[in-house]
Amino acid sequence: MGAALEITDLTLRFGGVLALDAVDLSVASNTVMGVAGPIGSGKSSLINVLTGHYPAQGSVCFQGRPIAHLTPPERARLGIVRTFQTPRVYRRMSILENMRAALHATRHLFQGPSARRREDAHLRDGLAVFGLDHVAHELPDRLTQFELRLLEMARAHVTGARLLLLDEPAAGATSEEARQLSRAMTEHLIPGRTVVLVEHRIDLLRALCTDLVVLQAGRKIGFGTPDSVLARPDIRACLMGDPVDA
Amino acid sequence: MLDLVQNTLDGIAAGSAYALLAIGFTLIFGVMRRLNIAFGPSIMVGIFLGAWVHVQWSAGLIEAALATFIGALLASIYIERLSFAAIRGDAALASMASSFALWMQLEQGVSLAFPGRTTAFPTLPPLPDIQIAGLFLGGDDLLVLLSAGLVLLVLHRLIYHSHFGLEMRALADSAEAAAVSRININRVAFLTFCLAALVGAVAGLLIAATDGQITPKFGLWATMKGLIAMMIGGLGSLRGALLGGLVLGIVEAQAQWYLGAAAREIVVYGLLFLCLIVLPGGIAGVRDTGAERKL
Repeated sequence: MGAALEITDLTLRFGGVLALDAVDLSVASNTVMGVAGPIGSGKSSLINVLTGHYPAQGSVCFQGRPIAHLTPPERARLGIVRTFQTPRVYRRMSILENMRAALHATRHLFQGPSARRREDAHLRDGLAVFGLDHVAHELPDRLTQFELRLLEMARAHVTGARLLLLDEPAAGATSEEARQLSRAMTEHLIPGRTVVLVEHRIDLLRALCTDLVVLQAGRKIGFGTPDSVLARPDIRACLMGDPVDA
Repeated sequence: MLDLVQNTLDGIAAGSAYALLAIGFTLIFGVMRRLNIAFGPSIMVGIFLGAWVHVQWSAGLIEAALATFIGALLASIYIERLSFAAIRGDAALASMASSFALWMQLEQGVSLAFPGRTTAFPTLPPLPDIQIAGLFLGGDDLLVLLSAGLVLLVLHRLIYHSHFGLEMRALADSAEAAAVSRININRVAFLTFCLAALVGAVAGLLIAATDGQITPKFGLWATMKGLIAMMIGGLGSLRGALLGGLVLGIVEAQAQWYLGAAAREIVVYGLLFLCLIVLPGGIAGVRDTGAERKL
């Protein structure tokens, strides 16, 4: 299995603060890389660098191709899609239209009725995976923060994203919701994709990740299978400060 | 009573052109969250190119119309490149101020190129006036109404049923969300500018062809009418721009009839003042509770 994502010597500075300090990381195709670490350790910065929103030093290759010079929409069109801790959705467009805006499936100005019906069915299938099908025609206002994050994931799912960057998808979820999310991810979202999962919940990281990297103050302090990394006492101590821990 | 209805009819005809101007402003404001006050002057450049074609080669309305569209488009692209694309998204005031500078530049340029007070513009083809039950609708007014209606239909189809419209609404809704999607924000903003220019050019064309003559002050006039209609209707709302344009037209017509031409402007600015105090969100802003129709 080749590496889908190859990060070498990635460094990001905010003034005098080192948000990412010479991070090397290799994520194999169709695996899930968990990213853990205390608040402010550089987890979200890593995602922002990968989407092209923060300019960083170092090299980033996606499927063997350097992408550091690409703009965020160019990266999105390559299939690099992210979700947010605070979801970014279109609040004045219906949930189905939110899905459609992400899809941008055709270059044609207008769509014939049959193409439209096919697209709608595809979008509704995506919503159904995350249990949002029944509210397709409503505004996102009525969704909880957690459900908005599900909508973002449904959006990423239907776009055929190849590299998914998930920023704490389970934050604020009840245990039952987290279980549902974990199931939807395992069955639908993860298969056939490379995923970078930033998460605080250790149970979720253990259940979903192939590998786990732990960051502290922008530096990589641990890497390996979740069980081997989480067995290290220094890592456990580092992650103890988190709001939710195993 | 008949007067009231007749004035309303006249007002709707004038208001439909105002509505197009307001929609042009709203498209740009909605998508970019920035005000292009040189919008009126860009249309003015268009109709002067139309008038030039007319005067130079005694071209008819069709050729003048084409020249108007091209002129308005080129002037708009010039403004977009200089005042909007070149200035970063968060500096809304800088864009507005620099669009004011371009306004002055365009107005002075046209004044120098066309030194006369007025310039002839080809008139609309004669259509029979309509008289029903004591009400009168001039052929010109009918043509203006029909053309504006057609533009609105096309625009509606484009905005709510095309992919470009979806991208435009997405960007108007949340620039933050659009920034992490596949949407090419710069391209959508540029095309929105072009679309607004074409819609404005239709309004300019209809007004210029109704009057049969134009002046460089048309830019000021169009910016004022469009801005007032947009503010009465509600900033950023397309439905508001349409309503605002019609309300402005009707109020002008009634004020002119009952109070005289001198009082007309006073009444219009009084209405704007009242709207800003009583309905700060505009007519549509208050009723529209954030449904998807808000561009």
